[in-house]
Amino acid sequence: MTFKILLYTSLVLLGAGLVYRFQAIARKQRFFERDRDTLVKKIFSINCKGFLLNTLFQIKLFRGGKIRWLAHFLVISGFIYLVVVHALDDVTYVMFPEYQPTIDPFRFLRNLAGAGVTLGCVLFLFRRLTNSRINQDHSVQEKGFRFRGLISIVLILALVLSGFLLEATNIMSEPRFNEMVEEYSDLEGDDDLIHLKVFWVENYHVVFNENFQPLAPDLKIGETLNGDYCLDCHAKPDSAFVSAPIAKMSKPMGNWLARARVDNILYWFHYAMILILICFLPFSRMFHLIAVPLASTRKRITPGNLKIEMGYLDVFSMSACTNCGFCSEVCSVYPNFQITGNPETLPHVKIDTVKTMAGKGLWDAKTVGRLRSGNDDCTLCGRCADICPSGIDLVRLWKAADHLMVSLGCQNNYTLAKETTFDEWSKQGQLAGDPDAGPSMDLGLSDQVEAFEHCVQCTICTNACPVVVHDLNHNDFGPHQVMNLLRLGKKQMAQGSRMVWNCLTCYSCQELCPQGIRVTDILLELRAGGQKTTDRIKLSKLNNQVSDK
Amino acid sequence: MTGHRDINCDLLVIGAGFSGMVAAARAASLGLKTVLAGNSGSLLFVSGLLDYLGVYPMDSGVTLDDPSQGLVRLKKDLPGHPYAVTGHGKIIQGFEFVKEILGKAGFSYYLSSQKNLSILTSMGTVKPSFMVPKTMIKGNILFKERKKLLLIDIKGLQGFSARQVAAGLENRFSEIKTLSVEIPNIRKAVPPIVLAGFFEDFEVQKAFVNQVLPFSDKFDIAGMPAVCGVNNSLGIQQKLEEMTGMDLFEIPGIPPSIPGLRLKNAFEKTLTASGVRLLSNIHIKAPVFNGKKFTLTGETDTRELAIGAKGVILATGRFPGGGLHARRERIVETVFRLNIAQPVNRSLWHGLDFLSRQGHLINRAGIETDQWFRPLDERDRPVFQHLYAVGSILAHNDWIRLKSGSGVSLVSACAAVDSFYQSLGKVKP
Repeated sequence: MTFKILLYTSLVLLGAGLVYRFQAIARKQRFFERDRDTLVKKIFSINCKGFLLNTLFQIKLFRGGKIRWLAHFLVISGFIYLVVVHALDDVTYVMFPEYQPTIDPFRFLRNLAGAGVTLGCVLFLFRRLTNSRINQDHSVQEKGFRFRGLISIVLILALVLSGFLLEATNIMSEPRFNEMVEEYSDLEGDDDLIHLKVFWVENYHVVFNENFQPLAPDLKIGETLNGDYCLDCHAKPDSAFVSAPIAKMSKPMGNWLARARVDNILYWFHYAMILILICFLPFSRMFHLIAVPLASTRKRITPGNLKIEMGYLDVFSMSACTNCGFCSEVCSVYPNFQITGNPETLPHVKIDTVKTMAGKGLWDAKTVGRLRSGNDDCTLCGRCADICPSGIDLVRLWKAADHLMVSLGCQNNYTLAKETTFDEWSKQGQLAGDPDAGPSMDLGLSDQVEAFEHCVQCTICTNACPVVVHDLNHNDFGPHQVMNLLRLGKKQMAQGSRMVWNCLTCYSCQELCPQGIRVTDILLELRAGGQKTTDRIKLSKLNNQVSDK
Repeated sequence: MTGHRDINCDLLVIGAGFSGMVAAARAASLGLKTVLAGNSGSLLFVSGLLDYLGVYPMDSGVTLDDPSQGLVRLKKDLPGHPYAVTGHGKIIQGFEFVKEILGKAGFSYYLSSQKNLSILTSMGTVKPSFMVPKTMIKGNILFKERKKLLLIDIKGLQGFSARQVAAGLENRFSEIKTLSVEIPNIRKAVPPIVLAGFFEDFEVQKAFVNQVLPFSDKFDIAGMPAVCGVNNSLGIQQKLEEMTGMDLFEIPGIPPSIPGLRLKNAFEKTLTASGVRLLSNIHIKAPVFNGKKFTLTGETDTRELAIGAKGVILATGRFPGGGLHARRERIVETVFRLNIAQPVNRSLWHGLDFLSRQGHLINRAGIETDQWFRPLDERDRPVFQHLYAVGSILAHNDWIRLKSGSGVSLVSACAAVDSFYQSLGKVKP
């Protein structure tokens, strides 16, 4: 009865938690139209195929990394089996009348599922403790992604391990044996009981507080009695390939465990774990179980639906993010991060900050500036969205984040760079860099004379550049002129030039350069350097405002 | 060094300039599995005119009327020259091959039957050439029939001035007039390739025609910079001729050259279609030969590829292309460290007279080969059985002064590929 009450309480809490989460998210969903935000009214087209494939088979995760997919698959398939067959065994009884938790194949399968979940969780933990390339950097580590979602993993591990221990103590438990004998047998006389006990000591690993001399006739009779009363529900426990060895190993402690009724304690612990997991689901990393399938129903942005869907800030999809870091591993502007050391360049960090900004608000001017620079670095190439195992359309998100920042009065760096006079620009550029924004790469291409000195000013890069064509009458320098600025030692000027800020990084110039100069790489690096200058300009403006007041 | 290879092929062509492109196209036409590694951007330096032999002897000071006559003398004087081992017939076959593959890719050339063509350049000079884009061919007949010539330039297009061209043509026409055409939306400078892209737009064509039309009755023919579109240049030019009602011809100009871009695009189109694998922005280094096959390393910005090949064609060009590198005392070949025929010391590299008609000895330095274009070592033996050198890197070949660059490139490329093909034991189809 107590179980039932607790269970229903937890389910009510789960429901309330989900309603709360969904409402909180729905309130934040916004739709931006020409930088004016309105609440979402539109119903968007649904991507059924993506939803099915990603929910059932985690197809995107499979494409991203086989080991991670395997870990997920083990945990999810094992957990589903355990929930359906083991936790909801009332239902299982109805479906399979011959179901008993202690006969095969159910016992074997339960162990298998439990072992799978354990292995998966261990893989998760291992990955967290060994840093991936993406999370190695100090500035990313500060964000503490390593410890996110750790509680969920630990809870699941505790649940499954307590299950194994519970089964092991049940196997050994003398009191449990006595209860069962009392309930299910009509054994009379101590002799028969002793025969049965001896048989169970030998074959079922029960530990009794008495000393028996196992004799041949005893075992024979015990086997018969076992067949009469027990065998229908109790297969030999060796198929429990995890619990049985634990039971065998802890035999010396058997009596103590039985007297302390550790089996009951574990039973309560096991039950408490599942209740905590249920209550906790909407507020923990496990929420992605719900968010990922739903996020996967979103249609990706295509040139066709671009105009309708581009300004949609989908907070719900954002909550499906697990900060796994796949996106940052493929990010086209990862090199920018290497130059600027700005973690907000990396999608898996950026999404978190955007989430905060859209949610409770972002009040730290420095982080806002970094997010702005990081998002401005993004080329919207879409590689992050392609790989995202949660099926989040990140391109839409970055675009929406841009709208969000503009609506909050956070000017983009491009506009700032355009509006800053060259004097101000070079003044800020020449200031000694503040230690926070220090470059993580000491010498870039634009600092190495060998990288551009072979330029013969043939103008092929400028001829190939689509930005030059598009902006023919306003562009200040062609790529070849930017190279020449570098040759003249005018790196500041180059960083502020329109060409650098407008570069699409299409690599046409680099592809065509007869001298093999990495023109695009240099332009990209210059812009990354320029982002730092704009950060300084913003901060100095803020400081001026403060001192004016 | 017989381990992992990322790419395996019959023939690796190093260098994606003109000779490399021709070699790869030839190899593909013979059915060889071919990889072309190099930076084709340098094709934007070429004029698009394909020369045979424009001047001989070098110091004659006049252009050759019939290149085959010059060839007879050249063979006698310079037995080490690439032309000396090929002969007139093979050269013509080479031109025909290139004309055919470019034509298939949509870039039509006019091949002269015997005599050099005289092509007007943007400098106002006249250059002898043998095979030229069809868009330029009407410029050839200029001098014989003293016509009335209209020279057109485009406002904002740098490096092409109708007045400069006209200044070089004094008294050679009965009448010359220059005209500057304004293209809408160009207020400042416009890069030539961008302008060529604009010319594919009908509105731009109309604006051009409207400004030329008033002169169409008074002049026989009009010359304009080579900006008639990047793709389908002949079609655009014919359309402009139709709309203006007068003959037009393109005048090749300084780099970056649009005919060069057309050439590059046409080659890449035909190579891709025939299954050649193109590796661009790659630096080929560290060749190893294991007795049967070459293994070379291709280095890009991000990774290294191991490329295995039965044969290698070196078409890396000279100093600008990176095939040759001038150290303080010696000129070296950059990929295989091959033996370079060169003056004994640096003081002999250059003569005293900068613009000397004789050229300088450094211009003739390069790789000496046998008759199948295989590089020779110090004792005049082929370095490898299946290593070939083609194009401007070949020794005794001052192609700039002899006006013979394309001819040497295409004939050496074709001959090298053919002999590699035959040495594999295959017979030409």
